[in-house]
Amino acid sequence: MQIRVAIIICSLLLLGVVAAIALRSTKEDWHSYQQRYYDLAARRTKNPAVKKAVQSASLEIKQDIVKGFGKLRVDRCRTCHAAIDDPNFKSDPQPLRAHPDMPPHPFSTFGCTICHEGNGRGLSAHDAHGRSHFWPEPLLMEPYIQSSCVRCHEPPYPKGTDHLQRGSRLFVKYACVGCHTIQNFSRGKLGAELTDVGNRLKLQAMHAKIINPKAAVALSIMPTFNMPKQDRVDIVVFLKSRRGRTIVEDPITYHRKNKRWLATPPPRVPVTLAVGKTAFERRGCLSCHKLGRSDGRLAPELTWLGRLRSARYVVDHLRDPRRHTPGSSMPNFFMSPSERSAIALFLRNQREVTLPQLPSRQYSLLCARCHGPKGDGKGIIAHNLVPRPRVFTNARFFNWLPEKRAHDAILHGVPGTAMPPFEALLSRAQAEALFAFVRKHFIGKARPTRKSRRLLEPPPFAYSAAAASRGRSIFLKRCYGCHGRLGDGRGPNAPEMLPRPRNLRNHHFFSRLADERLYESIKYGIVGTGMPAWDVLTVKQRWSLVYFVRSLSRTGPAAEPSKDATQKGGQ
Amino acid sequence: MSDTKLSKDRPPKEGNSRRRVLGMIATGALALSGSALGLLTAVFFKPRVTYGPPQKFRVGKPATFTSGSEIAYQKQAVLVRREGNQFAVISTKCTHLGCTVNATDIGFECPCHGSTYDRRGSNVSGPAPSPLAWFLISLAPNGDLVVDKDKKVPAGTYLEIKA
Ligand code: FES
Repeated sequence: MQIRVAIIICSLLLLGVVAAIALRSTKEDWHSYQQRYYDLAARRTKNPAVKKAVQSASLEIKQDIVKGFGKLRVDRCRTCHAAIDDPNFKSDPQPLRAHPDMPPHPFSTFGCTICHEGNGRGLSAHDAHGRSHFWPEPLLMEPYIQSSCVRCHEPPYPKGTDHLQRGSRLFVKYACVGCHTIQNFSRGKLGAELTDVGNRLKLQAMHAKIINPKAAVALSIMPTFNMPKQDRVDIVVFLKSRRGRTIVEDPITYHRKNKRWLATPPPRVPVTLAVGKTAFERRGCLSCHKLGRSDGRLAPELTWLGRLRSARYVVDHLRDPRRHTPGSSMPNFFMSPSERSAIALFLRNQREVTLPQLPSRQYSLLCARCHGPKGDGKGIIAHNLVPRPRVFTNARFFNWLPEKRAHDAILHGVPGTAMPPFEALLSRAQAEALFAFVRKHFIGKARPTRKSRRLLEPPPFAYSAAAASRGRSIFLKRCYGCHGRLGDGRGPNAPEMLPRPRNLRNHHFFSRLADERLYESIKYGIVGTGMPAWDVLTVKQRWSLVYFVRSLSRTGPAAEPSKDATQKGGQ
Repeated sequence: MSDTKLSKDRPPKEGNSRRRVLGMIATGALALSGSALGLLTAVFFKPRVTYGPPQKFRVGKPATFTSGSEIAYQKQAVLVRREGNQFAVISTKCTHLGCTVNATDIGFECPCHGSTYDRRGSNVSGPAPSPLAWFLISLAPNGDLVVDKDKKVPAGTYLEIKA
């Protein structure tokens, strides 16, 4: 009995479901839109023939099949947007609004999705507007629609594309060109290539990547730009317009054009102050650096840098910043030698700095940008610097560090890092007073007396390639976890350590470091950092490691352990 | 235990008729939903649109045609004729083997095997077996003329548009 009742209930349920499906399939959204259009059109028209035609019109799927723009496009947009070519519907709400006049772009030859994107075959708003998470081209709205002009039009861009044009200017202004390559536009090598980013990323993803570059790629070195929302929107319009080759170009012309563009050498300029100033502004230096009042809040202050660093240093640095200072996140801007010299000249001729008397004021003027106003190494630009600025609150390290080395680091800088020599601004007494301030306020604890270390073992053998390669095999067993297989300080443990392991390929840093200092660091470790004391190694092994570091940093054969080098080192 | 057994052993006649009614309802519902599903599947398989060249297309505003003109559309193989305020669309596809016929003073002429038609499109001479087709012409809501090649109309049907 029960089984019969169950069968009846089930069959009735089935009937109900089938009826519901059948009912739903006869009624779709576009039916009502089209019907509404016909009703309104019949009411608005004055022409009786039109009225008659409209009244007898039947609901149907309208489609434009568009060939000749790359792939075949099937656009059924007019099924809902039936009024796009009806001048009586200029100010109606969507979906029944007339399209603004675009004289040379008839719908029958261009279709809709060529500009608006979305899914032309869709027959519901959700499908057709590409709202599905997996549809790669969601509908483009104003102002992003402007990016579509670049599918065919080359610069100069047509009228009415203000956001696009502004975005392209901002891309230069924010120095994005320094890191990102866009063929025929920029040649940066640090960041991802953006030639066809418009095909790869949705708008949302672009915004997210600019707002927080590290959200998607944890190891991204792209700085978080402090840009107003309008700027970001315009840059995204520009990025969306980057779709590689335009439809009207053939691959060979495109390739030739790009080759010609790459072969064009940077322009030679006269080395004058005025030229240096315009070059400095045009290259977007201030989108990261600080000069006077303008501040990009991402990179070191340049107001007095021209006085601290030699012109030679600036020119060399500008030629290839990352090669010159390993770990620098400054991109190469491919300037001509004359432009580099002009910028160096401009930096040298900045206004005189009036140094405040109080060490606390000096600290906030000269040091706080990197080391942080609280001495915790969290200055506004600290996370863009490699190696990171020293953390003064690390009392263990600073109580271990000889006072004189700290003073020397202030006066002579730390080569191969962002720490400049302050010799030109501070006298030795001022430097000592400044560090005394740092010790009092940030390091805090009184300095314990340091146990004198046992005299170091002299090297049992001199530098040789064989010794360096023995050092390499020890390095690969003992050291790569932090310093990395390549010795660049990016081992698997490195992200968890602060301060970060030293980049052993930093030529400038090690060229000023005596062998004894290296040996001492290996033997005793460095207090307050992740570097342990390697007392398990033999003397010979430690010296092999020293020689290996020499070969890595291209500072061997053994640098002269001169007094000067020891002084100017500094951790 | 014995109680439940008793209750199941109802008089056979009453049980039978009830069972029959219930069975009929179930069978009916199943048959209905089955046939409805079959129908839906058939509807699903019939394409609502095709990817061929559109059979329905616009040829512009009536004002762009001058009275007495006959304008041929090569790709769509039709000819739009205006006489006074009357419009008509005539196929230019020869009914013999499908060549495109040319309009002449007295009607149409096929270049392939010499069939001739009069101005109404009736076959006059040559191998053509039947007259040329006339298609429906109407107005779109924005005032454009629309030709629908899917709908044939009797020869001599004109669309009257008051200027
Ligand atoms: S095709 Fe026109 S007469 Fe044969």
